[in-house]
Amino acid sequence: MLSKQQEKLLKSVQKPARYTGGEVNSVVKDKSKIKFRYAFCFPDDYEIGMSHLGMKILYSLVNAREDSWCERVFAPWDDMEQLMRENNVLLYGLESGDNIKDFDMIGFTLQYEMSYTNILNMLDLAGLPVRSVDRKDLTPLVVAGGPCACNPEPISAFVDLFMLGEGEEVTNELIDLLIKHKEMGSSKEQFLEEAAQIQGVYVPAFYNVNYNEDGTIKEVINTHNAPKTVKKRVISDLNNVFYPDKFVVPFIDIVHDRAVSEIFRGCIRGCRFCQAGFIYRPIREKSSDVANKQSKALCESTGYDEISLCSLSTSDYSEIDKLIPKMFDWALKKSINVSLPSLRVDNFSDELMEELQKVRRSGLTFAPEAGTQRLRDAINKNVTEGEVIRTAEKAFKGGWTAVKLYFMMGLPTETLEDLKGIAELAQTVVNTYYQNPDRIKGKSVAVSISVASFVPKPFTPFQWEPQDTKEMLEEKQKYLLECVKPYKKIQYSYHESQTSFLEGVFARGDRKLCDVIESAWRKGCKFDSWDEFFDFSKWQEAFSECGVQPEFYANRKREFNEILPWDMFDYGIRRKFLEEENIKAHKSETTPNCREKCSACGANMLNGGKCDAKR
Amino acid sequence: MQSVRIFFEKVGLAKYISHLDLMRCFSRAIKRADIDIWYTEGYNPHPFMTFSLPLSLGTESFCESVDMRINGEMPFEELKERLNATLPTGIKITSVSAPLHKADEICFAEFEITINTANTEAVSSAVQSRINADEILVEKKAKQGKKKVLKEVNIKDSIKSFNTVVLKDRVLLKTVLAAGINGNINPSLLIDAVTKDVRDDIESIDIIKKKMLLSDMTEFI
Repeated sequence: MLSKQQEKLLKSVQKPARYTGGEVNSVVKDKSKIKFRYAFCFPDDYEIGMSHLGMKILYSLVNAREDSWCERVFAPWDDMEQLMRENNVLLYGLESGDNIKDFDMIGFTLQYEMSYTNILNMLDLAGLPVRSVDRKDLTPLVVAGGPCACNPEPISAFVDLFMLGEGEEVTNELIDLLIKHKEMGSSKEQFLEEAAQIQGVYVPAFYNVNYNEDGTIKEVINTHNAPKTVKKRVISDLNNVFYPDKFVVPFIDIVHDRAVSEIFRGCIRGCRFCQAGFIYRPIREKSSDVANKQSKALCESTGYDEISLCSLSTSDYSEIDKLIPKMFDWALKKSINVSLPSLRVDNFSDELMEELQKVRRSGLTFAPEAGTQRLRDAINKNVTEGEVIRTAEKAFKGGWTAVKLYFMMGLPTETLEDLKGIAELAQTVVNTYYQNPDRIKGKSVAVSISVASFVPKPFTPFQWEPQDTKEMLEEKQKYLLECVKPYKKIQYSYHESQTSFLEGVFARGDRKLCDVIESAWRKGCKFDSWDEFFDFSKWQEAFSECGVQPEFYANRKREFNEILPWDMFDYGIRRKFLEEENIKAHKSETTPNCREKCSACGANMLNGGKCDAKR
Repeated sequence: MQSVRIFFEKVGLAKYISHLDLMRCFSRAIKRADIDIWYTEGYNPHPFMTFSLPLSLGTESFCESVDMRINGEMPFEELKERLNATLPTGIKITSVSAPLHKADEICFAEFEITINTANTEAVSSAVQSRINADEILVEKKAKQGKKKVLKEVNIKDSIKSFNTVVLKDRVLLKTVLAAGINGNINPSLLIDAVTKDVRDDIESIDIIKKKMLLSDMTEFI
């Protein structure tokens, strides 16, 4: 429920339903029976945050506890923020309308680096100091988790503790511990000392980082009995881990407005550029029966007319051929569309294609990632041109006329030859369309290529690689544009290189960036992933005022013996394995996928030696 | 197949659900209630639903209606109960019936408008002098070819009736305005026009749509 003062603002903002709460399946509890209040914050707008599966899982998980109440909080859009500041309305939880500064715990999910300034902005809108040291009380405790927590150093001054890895178990453990310490009347430090003993919990205040003269890390000293290495959490059994049977159903149109069924975690592929392919290991699958049951329950409770399977590579799910018919069995009767994102080109079976044709079809998307076989081998994207063409052929025969191809630019070892290959591969796909005798006459083909700038990420074989500079990328973009020009059926779009540069800085940054982020935020930076807000000049000012060279983080090649800011975390992947993969990349040597042959990355050790890649 | 007209209220925070979002909201509530409604049979089948008149964002209503077709038969009372169990807070089915009038027979809508103000006398007299003038000019969005333009129009003739009641901390306006396909007046346009001179005195304004009326001023059912 909103107060009069809060509601008044809604009359003059765009999309007021972002701020009302009250959606179907949102959870309202009796405050007097609650011991623990949690504000789960997504540092971007409602439409993006509400599309995020992790939030849905943890929201329901905490609300399944009788003693706790979890509410959702999103970054208010600019118009709402202004009104809030003018009228002294503080950031509130959508379910209760209560100010989140009075909650016990405030949690942020770190999905992408460009959302960091929004975290500061949201803390400030909540009426809290942005720096951890300035928040003296035990509550509200500010925590964060998610993929970017694998190198949280650039925001380590603002967050009291980070949760590494999967959140289902550690969230409950933290809540129990915080309730205990609240009842004991402990200080924040007393609580943090005990919290640091929980596996997966990283308390940045308990680690002192010393630097060499060249700015690299000399040593990290753990204090307060905190472990030298923090090991990420994994859920061992996906069939029995909590999964929500309800999603909050938004009123307004959000980015992914559908039910989502998670089918497995981890990825067997080992593409060397892909952070998700490493940090979510080992592979753990859900059985098709469990996934089917959960899917059906979600559709019934939400009324959605679409359900999407969620994983890193849907067609690698070992029970995909069992699951699809099971789901179609009830979904088609109820006019529910089943969508399968993240299909890989190389194992797109005829049967699967046939099944897919039963439902409404949208465009088809493939990600060859690189233009030549040599570079695809270097990044270990084990897809050949022949496979891309064969899949396109199948798709065109199946009636598709729009194909989207994803590529990356600025990959390690890349040459102009590889960029030219992008245009040529796309044109080969166009030619494939016209070679199909059964194509619909008079209908043209649309092949679009989307080219992102490669950003090296922690815990990948490319974590030591220099990122291409802005100038290099701009030149390459121009060159590719020239290559594409003669081909009329190809649409080319690319990613802004300044955003990629900053993303690269934060992805592999250290603690010295905390000052930069705070300074940029004070200059007005927020929603940095949005073109209409992103202001690179403010960031440049912030870097120079703080005496920090961003190129040091983005464009510098690291040696294997350098201590990296995230070396104190154990994500299961052996560092030596990543080094070997890096060396192989430079020799354009591939590594077989985990199902063909185990490469002993080490991640199975997090799960008692179990990995579902081998079944 | 059974054609039904569903009357519902849209009050409280549900007034911030836009017209487009409301259609989605209903089709999901229908799915959750496991009601077998008729889908259009085109290339892209979707649940068939027609709302009588769109309600502007931020306006509450006691008299919204939506028509749909049910495959098979379902008692009106059961339909009402099942939908009420799955609709969000603020949207409540008040009655279900077989449609009697056509939606394009709607000519008027009755609104109750509450102006919250400390200065009730000043607001009331300012409103009255505006309403009694020969012309009430408002800016309306219009299209000139493909271009969107603002047009000034006189809406005086679209006001069927207008009463003012002064209470302790608010001014109540009851008005019947032209509605439907033969000219539709958004009450907030009218309110903006008649409160022009006293804007600073006004704390907030609440608008509730109370009735949809036919040309003979009987209710649309």
